[in-house]
Amino acid sequence: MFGSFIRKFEPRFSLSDADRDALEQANVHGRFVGPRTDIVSEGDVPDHLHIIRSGLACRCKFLPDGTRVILAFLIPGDVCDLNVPIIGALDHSIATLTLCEVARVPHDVLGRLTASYPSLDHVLRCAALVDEAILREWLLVVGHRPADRRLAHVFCELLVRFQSVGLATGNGYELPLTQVDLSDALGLSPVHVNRTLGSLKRRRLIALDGKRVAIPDVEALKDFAMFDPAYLHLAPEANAPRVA
Amino acid sequence: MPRYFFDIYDGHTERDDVGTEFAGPREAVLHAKRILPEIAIHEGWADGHCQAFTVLVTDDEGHPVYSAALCCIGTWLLR
Repeated sequence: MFGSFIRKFEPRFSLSDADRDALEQANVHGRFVGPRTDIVSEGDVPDHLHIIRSGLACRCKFLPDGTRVILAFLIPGDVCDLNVPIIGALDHSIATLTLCEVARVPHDVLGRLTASYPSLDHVLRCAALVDEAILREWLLVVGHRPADRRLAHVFCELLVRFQSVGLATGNGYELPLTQVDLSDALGLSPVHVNRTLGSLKRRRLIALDGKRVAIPDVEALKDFAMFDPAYLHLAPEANAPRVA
Repeated sequence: MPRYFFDIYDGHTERDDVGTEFAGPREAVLHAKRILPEIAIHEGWADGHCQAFTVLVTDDEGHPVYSAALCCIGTWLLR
């Protein structure tokens, strides 16, 4: 149930067999949620923790005119709503973009797990901190980079994130997003996203084949996007002690 | 919701073969008005002559609905 989640944090934390067994034996249910459906809606007080197992989802909010703003993409292994019970209701919605399988852990079960297994608590807190780091990076990119570098940055970020959960093949991955999804995430109009995708393709920074993104020269795309994966905190920093 | 297509012309034509859904023509036209300044801000423009960005909005039957042009002129004043 937690394969992608564990895989993502393996380079950083060494979970013991007892930690893994505790996770796998917890009272966890999988649920399929159809595309473009809320997993948790703004204002809900979720009694379960949700972790994406398969598919793509997002954090989003809506403007008064109904425009959706995507604040994060959630991929397999990502935790949706860890600390929500502490603050009360969810202040944004978590919605699927494609069909998703979602693991649901009752918050009381989660509380007992993290109390008994400090390493799990540590990994979950790390997941929440990385989420915040990604949001900070997006703020910077969306606020201060032109359209072509914004798109390039999101393609780099998704490559590294999909690689970390074993969902990239070569330097490519399946990205079943529409241009509207990308435009809602990057603060651009869909037409401008279409035009900018064309420009990235012509410069051979990306190749698109249906819903598959391929990156012919990863270093070239990273340079162009000014992408430094440090903010994803996937590998332990050289000077950081191995915790857990 | 009906789908509208936004072709952009800035020296060469960029055809929109995906289109975007809007409640109606009014919303599509509002969107068209946003696109041109957005492109000009992100891509800039050449110096010395008028560079025009044009959008042509068509509906899903190919009928033209609206067109707009934004002309940017930048001139160096230093010799």
